[in-house]
Amino acid sequence: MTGHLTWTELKLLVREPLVLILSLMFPILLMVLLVTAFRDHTGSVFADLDGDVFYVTAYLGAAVAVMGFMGTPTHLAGYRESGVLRRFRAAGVGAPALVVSQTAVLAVLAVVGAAAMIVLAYAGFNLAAPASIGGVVAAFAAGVLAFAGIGTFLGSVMPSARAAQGLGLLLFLGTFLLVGGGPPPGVLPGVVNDIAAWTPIGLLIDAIRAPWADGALDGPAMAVLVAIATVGFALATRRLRRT
Amino acid sequence: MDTVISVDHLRKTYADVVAVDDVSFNVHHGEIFGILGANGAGKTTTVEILQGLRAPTGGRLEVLGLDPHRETDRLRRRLGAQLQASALPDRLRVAEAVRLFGRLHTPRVDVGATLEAWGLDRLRDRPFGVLSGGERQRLFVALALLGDPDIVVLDELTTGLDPTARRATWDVVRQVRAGGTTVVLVTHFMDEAESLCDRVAVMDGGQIVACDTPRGLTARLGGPVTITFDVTGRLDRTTLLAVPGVDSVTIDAAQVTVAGQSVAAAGVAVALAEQGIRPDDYRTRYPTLEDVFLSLTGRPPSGRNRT
Repeated sequence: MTGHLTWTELKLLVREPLVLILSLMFPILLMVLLVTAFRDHTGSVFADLDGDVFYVTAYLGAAVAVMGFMGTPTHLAGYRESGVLRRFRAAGVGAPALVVSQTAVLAVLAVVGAAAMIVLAYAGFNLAAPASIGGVVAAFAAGVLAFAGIGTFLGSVMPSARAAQGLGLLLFLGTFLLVGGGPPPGVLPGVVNDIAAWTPIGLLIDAIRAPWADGALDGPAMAVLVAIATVGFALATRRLRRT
Repeated sequence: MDTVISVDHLRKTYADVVAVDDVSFNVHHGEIFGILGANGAGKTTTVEILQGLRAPTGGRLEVLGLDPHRETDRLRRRLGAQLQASALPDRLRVAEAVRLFGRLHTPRVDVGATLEAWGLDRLRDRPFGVLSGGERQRLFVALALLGDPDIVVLDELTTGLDPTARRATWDVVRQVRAGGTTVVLVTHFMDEAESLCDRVAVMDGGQIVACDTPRGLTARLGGPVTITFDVTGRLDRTTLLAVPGVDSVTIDAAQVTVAGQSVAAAGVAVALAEQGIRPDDYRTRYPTLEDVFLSLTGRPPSGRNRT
C-alpha cells in the first residue's frame, strides 16, 4: 500500500507541474541573484567561504526548507480540509503510509530543486566542487528527513491549507533570512547568529557546508537533524492516526 | 436474525456540547437501517463513532463483534463507508482510485470488473475533479463496497443530486442490500428513508426519538389518513361518520375532508358509491415520515426534498 500510495502521489505531483515550478522558482532565482552579486567576495562575513559557495550551500538548504515548511504542510492540510484524509483513513490507509508517501514527494522535489541549482551554479558560475560529495549528499539526506518530519507534523496539525501556507511562509522567511538567505549573517548581531545556527535550516546549512569546505561531516548538526526527523515523524504519525 | 451492530447508551460530548446523548439501537443482518434527522441531529457523529473515526465519550458499542475504537483496523476490513464530507485528490483518475483503494483488500480487486459493475468504465481515465455529483457518489459507493464488506455505511448519499440521479442511487442501494450487505443509511430526506429503509431511527438533538419500520412510525405517530374530494349536491355526513375508521368529516363549500385510519379509505369510497355520489378529485393522503418528524419534534424537517 505504501509503495502504491507513494507512486500515486508522485503521479499526481507530475500532473500539477505548476507546484514544482512555482515552489522552486523563488529559491533558484534568488540564489542566482546572490551568487552573481557576491561570487567574488569572501571573508568572515561569509563564514570564510567564497561568496558563491556560501550562497549555493544556503540555497540547497532552502530547497529542502521551502518544501518542509510550506509545500508538504499545505498539501496535507489541504487533504484534511477537503476530506481526502478522512476518506483515506476510513478506508484503512495507514498513517505511516501517508507519512512515507509525503516524505518521498518532498525528497523528489528537493532533489529536483537542488539539481537545478547545482547545474546552474556549475554551468553559469564555475562553482568549485565540494571537498566531499558524499558528505554533502549525506547532509542533504539528513535535511530531507528532518524537514519531512517537520512538514508532515505541521500538515497533521494545521486546520487548513491557507493556515499552513501562512505559517509556513513565516517559518521559512523568518529563519531563512537569518541564516544567509539575504544579507550575510555576519552583518547581523552575534546573538542572532547563535540562535539561527540552531534552527532546522541553520543546522542543515551548517551540515552541508562542513563537507563542502573541509570534507568532514558536522556530526552534531547531523545528529540534531536526525533527532528532529524522528520526533517529527512520530508526532505526525500519532496525529494522523487520530484523524 | 443476527444483530450486527449493537449500541448501548452511546454518548459523545465536545467540551460543553452534547452531540450524541444516550443513544441505543441495534442493526440486524441484511437490513437497510435508516438514521433520519435534520442536519446537526448527531447522525454523522454517531456513524463515525461506529466506524472508529471518532472515539465515544461513553456507552458500549459492538460492530460485527468488534470494538470500533480499539479494533479499528480489523473492523475497517469488514465495514465499507461512503462518508458525507469526503473527497479524493482532484487529479486522481477513477481507475486509479479503484486500484489504490483496492490495494487495501485481499484477494486483489479486479479493477476492470469493478468499474464495469458500477457503470464507471467509460469514466476510467476521468479525473475526480471533473466528475459530476452523481458520478462521484457512484464512485464512492463502489469504493465503499470494495472487498465485499459485511456492512456499508452511507451518509447523505443523495445530497445535491438531481431527481433522476437520486432514483438511480436508490436502486443502487437496493442492489447492495440484495447482495447480502447490511446497510446503515444516514439521511435527512424523509422520502428516502421511507422508500429504502426497513427500519428507521429518528434522531433529534443527539437523541433517538423513535425507532420502528416506516409503516409503524407513520401509523403510530404520523397522524390521520385524510381523504379529500369535491362533491356537488347534498352529502349525508352521518353515513360517512359511520364508516369504520372515520374520525371526522369536515365540509367546506364543495370540498369534503374525511380524517381517520387507513381502513377508512376504501369504506368511504363504498359509502359514497352506495349513496350514488360520484365525487370529483378523490384523493387519499397517507401520513409520511415528514408528518412523523413534525409530530415528534414540533418542527418541519430542514432540507425537504419532495420529488
